[in-house]
Amino acid sequence: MLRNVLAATFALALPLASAAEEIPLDPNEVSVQDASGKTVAVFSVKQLRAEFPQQTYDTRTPWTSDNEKIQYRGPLLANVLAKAGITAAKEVKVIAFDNFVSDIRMDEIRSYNPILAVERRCNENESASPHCPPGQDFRPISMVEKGPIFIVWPFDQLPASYVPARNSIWVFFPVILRATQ
Amino acid sequence: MKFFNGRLLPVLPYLGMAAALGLSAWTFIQSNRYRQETDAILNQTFEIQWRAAQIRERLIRVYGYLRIADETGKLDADIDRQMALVSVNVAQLENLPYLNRFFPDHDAELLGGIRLTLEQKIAPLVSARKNYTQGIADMAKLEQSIYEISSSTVDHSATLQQTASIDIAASRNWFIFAIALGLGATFYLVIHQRYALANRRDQHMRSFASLFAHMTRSRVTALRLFLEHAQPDKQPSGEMLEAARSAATELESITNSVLQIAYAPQDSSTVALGALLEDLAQDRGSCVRVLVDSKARLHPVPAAPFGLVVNELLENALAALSGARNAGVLVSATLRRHPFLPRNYLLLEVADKGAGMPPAIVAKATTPFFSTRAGNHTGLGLTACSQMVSTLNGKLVIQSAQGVGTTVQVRIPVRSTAAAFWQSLLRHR
Repeated sequence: MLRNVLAATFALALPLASAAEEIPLDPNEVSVQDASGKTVAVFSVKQLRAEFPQQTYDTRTPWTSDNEKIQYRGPLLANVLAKAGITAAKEVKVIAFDNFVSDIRMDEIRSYNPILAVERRCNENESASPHCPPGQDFRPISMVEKGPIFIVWPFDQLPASYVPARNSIWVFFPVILRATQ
Repeated sequence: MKFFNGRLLPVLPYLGMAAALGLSAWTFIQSNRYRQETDAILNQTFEIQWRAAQIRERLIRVYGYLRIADETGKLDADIDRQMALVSVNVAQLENLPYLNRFFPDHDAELLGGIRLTLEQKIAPLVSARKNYTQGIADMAKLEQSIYEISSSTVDHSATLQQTASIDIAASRNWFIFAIALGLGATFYLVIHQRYALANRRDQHMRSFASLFAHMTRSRVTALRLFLEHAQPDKQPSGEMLEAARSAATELESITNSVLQIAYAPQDSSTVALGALLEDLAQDRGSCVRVLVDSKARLHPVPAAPFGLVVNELLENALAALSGARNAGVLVSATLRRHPFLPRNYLLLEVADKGAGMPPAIVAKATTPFFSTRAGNHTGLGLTACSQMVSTLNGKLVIQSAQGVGTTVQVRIPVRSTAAAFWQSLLRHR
């Protein structure tokens, strides 16, 4: 709910934001920026999948029901930031493809280890689809499913007060990760 | 009806209180459920409105880009992002599992129409970067559709919220009803307790009367028979005279004891339990041992009824011992805590290692007018003892085994000072 409120607030400020932010045109890439807004690294979905150890979370999200768990896979957000040289930041401002903005504290990232999910497990109905050929367990996440990149947290490990108060940290289609002091 | 008066009536207020408690708990849970439902509905409404707003905003962007392109011939590259986002938002809105709760069929059709127009008409001309004028005409219709959708969401959420408030209000009414029921049951209990108290007093009177009758009847009858058979010209035998004299003396002593009980002021004639027991034991010499704990020793007890009860128990115990050598009677008294209630009780035990009683006799021991030693003692009898103990709200329990001995336990609740005060207040009103 808070995400919605924040988003609504943001929507009001959109003309200003869009003037200030240059949103990348491809949601399949995420740029890491330093505090000055300078891009220090760009990772494609393919790189995120190939160049980092992959972590899998079998979890629900704030938008799914209690027993509806989905397996998401991708690199740890902390690893992606570290590879781009971001280690001393206090917060990360995450900007999404739809101009949504969320601030995530580094202590939250260290405590709950979110991932930049780039894949989700195929379910039984999808085994026939071209995304899930035999022998492949995971497939890319579509935009309707909040992909292609989705910041996923282990829902059960988050404090109870985070739902729905901190739903805004579950950013879908993030395109910019900006370190702030 | 008899069942209703006899058994159901005393239980009714307790049932009422239990029902009141249950109802309160239920309404609390209900209110909480309504609150959660209202929260969920509000969240869902926000989600739908947010998606609808996103669609509207992206459509306006696309519309603007098309207008500029129509004027200048140059299409902003950002249109691809806006097209992608509008499609995503339409698909996400259509996929929401709770959508049909908020959306009338007409709105769902409008939403489907938006998706089709975007896919079939706008997307091809955006990809081809041409025919912007046709695109502008289609976009104007789409914009109106999305406004219609947003408006009906607001209407519907208002209705849902109202329903939720009504449910909460209904739940509150039940809560008030539960409180009223609880209060009713409490008042009923208070009144019921007062009647129960009056009833108990009546019962005490009856017990007292039967006690008196039990103790005097056989002696009065004996005297009557003696007088009936006495002839003026014939001197009665010395034995008969002695028996009659003894019966008259016993009657006098019984009447005195009973008068003592009857006229003893209720609260004043108390005596420390230790002193009472030691006095009674002293009269009987060394075969009675007394063990009283320090708290029980100083505890005040009503002198007359307690004296009579202990006296009778001692007499019985000593009678059971007759013939046995080196055997004694142990009188012990302790003050104990009630296991559940915040009050204490006095536990008095009179134990002998005499002949004991068979179970059949134990079962009859507290039956009125039952005695194994009819006529030869002036004591209360166990029946009267038991009744006397019950007038003190206590309980008398006999444990006996043949050849092992008998233990009579008397438990009497001891009221706290505050309770005694309220009790006396209630009595004097």
